[in-house]
Amino acid sequence: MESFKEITPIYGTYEISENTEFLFPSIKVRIEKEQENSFNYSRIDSEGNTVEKLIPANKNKITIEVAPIRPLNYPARRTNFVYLDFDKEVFLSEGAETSFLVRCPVEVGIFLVHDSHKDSMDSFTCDPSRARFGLYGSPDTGILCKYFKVPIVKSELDSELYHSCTIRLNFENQLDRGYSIKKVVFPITDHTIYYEEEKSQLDSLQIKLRKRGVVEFAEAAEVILSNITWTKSPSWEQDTHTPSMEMGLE
Amino acid sequence: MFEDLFAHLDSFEIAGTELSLFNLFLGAVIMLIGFTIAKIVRSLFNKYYAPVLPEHTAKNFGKMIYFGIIIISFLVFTSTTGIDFSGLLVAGGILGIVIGFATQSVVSNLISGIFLLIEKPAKQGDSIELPESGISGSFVDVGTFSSRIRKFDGTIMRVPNEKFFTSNIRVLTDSSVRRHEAVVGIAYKEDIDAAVEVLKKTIMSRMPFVLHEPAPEFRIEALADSSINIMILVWHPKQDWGKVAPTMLKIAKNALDDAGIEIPFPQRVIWKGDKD
Repeated sequence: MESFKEITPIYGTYEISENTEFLFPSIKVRIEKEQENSFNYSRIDSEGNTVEKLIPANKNKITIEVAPIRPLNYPARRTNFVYLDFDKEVFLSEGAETSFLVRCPVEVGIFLVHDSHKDSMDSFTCDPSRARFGLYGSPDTGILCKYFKVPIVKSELDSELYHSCTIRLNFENQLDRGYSIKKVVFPITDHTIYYEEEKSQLDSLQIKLRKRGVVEFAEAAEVILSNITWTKSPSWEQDTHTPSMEMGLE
Repeated sequence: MFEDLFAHLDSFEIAGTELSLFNLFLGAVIMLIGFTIAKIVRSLFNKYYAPVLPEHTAKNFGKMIYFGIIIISFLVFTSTTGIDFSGLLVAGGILGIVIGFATQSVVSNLISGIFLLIEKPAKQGDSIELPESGISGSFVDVGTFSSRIRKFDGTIMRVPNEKFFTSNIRVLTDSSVRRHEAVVGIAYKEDIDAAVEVLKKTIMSRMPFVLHEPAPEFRIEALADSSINIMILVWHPKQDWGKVAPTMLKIAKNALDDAGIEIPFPQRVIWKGDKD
């Protein structure tokens, strides 16, 4: 029986030159040195399902990065949108400007770092029971989204390692009446995740409630966190296109 | 030089235009070059651009490029040789009517194909169903006389364009989500609310492709002979019918079994008449 160096990882970069086992909640990731210049990667979930990959390397060690990524890949990549359903409504009075934080679930990405590249090697969720879909709008014209029930939190640091990051939502009510907000739907692919050790946060979202003629609408735009000193996650999503060749390649 | 080679040969007339064999040879060369260029451009397009475009867009673009180049070559051929086809129009019109009557179904299929291309009732790759014909599968393309549907068993079904055009077509993948329905029966002695709660909890936790919004719905479909029939209605992404429909009843049965809720088999109570 081969011995493994056990690590309970936080987000960051790891140099691996010997058999190593990363312990995530209900998931084990093993990186095993197979030959001089190749490693065997395996991920085993709580039900015993295994994903295995062979990693050829130029040296006798490899560097990997464990980072939070946008929650779009599990159970399958179907959309760019997330639907955050708040645990309680937020009431905005007429002309009010407010800002609050909610948790937004994340998946975990494993990236192979070589030279200046970070290539996605694997991704998974430590919360498969929460990764669900929802429809915003009617079945004929609605938008398919990843659906999450999320709590409102007090601080940017209220993210949960492997499970969620925080996102600041800035609201401005320019309507001539008060308005209750229960959910927000936006394309998360425009947003970057930043992390530091156990904490992670997403670019903010600026939402203006406005009226054009008789139509009330919400104008949303992402706000890049330019002052943050945290590491930018090399976010990644499964691509719907596979490389094309005569004999097939996936 | 080539002109000298053909100089001794006779010329003849096409559509009122004097045409020498040299001109005809030149025309053949132009058309051959046109066909070759069309094939090369189409194959380059298929190799470098088509894989990243949606299937139907790629195929339509490919056809447009191919036939566009051939039409341009034909125009170059006619303008080079000076052939004027206006004389053929009258004769062609009469001939067209004769051929039209003789080949009514062929023409009908051709015209229906054109209308199908204009109307676009489904996109290539869409899952469709023709309820009256009992055909369902993935829509491949509209051809000159027939449309092709790849059935879910992998075989290709050719449907004449006229029949396809006049059929009711059910497009299964036009909106981003689809609804699946299944019926499960519980015994009359069981608590309906408890059974619904068990089904809802299990479906929400064990079926990742079932949408949480709109949430699964449960309707009492019938107080049937042997059971109370509960209809389960769930929404799922359009691509994932295969991950929801085939497992739904299995998951529902296991959930009811685990909760000790009886699924009755059909039964009949027979009262025996008293001899006295």
